[in-house]
Amino acid sequence: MTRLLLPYNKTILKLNIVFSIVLTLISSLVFLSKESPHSPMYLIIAFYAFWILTGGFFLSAYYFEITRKNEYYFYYNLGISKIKLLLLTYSLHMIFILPLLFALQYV
Amino acid sequence: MYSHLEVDSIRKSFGDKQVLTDIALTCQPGDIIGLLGRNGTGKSTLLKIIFGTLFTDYKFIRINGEVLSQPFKTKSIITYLPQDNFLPKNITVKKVVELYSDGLDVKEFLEDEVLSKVTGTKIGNLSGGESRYLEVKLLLNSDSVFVLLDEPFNGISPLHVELIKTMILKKSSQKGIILTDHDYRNVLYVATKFYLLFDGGLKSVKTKQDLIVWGYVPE
Repeated sequence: MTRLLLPYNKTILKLNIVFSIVLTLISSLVFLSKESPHSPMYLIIAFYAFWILTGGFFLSAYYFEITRKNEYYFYYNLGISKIKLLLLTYSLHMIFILPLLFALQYV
Repeated sequence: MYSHLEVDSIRKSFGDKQVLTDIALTCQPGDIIGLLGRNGTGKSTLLKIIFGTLFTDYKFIRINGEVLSQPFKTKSIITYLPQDNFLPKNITVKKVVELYSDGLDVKEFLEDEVLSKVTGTKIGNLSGGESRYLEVKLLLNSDSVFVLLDEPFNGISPLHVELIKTMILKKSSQKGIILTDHDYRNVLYVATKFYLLFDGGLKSVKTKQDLIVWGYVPE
């Protein structure tokens, strides 16, 4: 099953990385100047991990929806619904950010 | 083994416009059902409802005795070729075939006059005809019993049209095929049963004269 998701997962992940970098930059500009018990690097990694699983993922899925909607039929023909596709891809993204969460303990 | 598709009571409207009114048809392996109709008469809408990706309040779809609301979610039952290309553009032909081929001999699949030349090409770089040919071949060689083809001949060269027609005829003994296309001559050539979507209803067509009577083709 995971093998079948690769084209979609790869596209969403690439988009998500870009969107999340932009969102992290904006978040950093807004929040880094404020007093925080954590180091700037900690906050940047935390922001990035947060956006990967929220706004970045949402924007990527939305971008795919409006630009490459027809490709969903690739998955429908394999018996994979849109909801199943999104949930499985989201799960793979959670695995992707595990190293980032692990890194947070050391910064 | 799923071998009988029954569609009944399909109704669909968009706003105030009733597009489909109590549509009923049956299909089984060996059938090639040609669905004709002018633009906007609901051909694609009907195929999407049968496939299960378009919602409607009224429908009854039964496959081999089992009522299914979204047939595409059940493996090996049904596949659908949409009007526009549906394969991911960023992967190669070989990769797509490997992903789709459940028990299929990839090497043998790619050894034909069209695909052998483009094995390593990305889908996004294929011509319209090559892309359509690959899509139809993938669906006709999948393990699904029913195949819905929405405009398989649209915008492609005569050579590719001929290859696709040959492929459809070759595979029709194992599959039930419902196809729609504006190129009615090719539909009439391959199909074994014909229907015309007219005014929301499905009219049975026996001869080309019927299409003239219903105003689908000029005299």
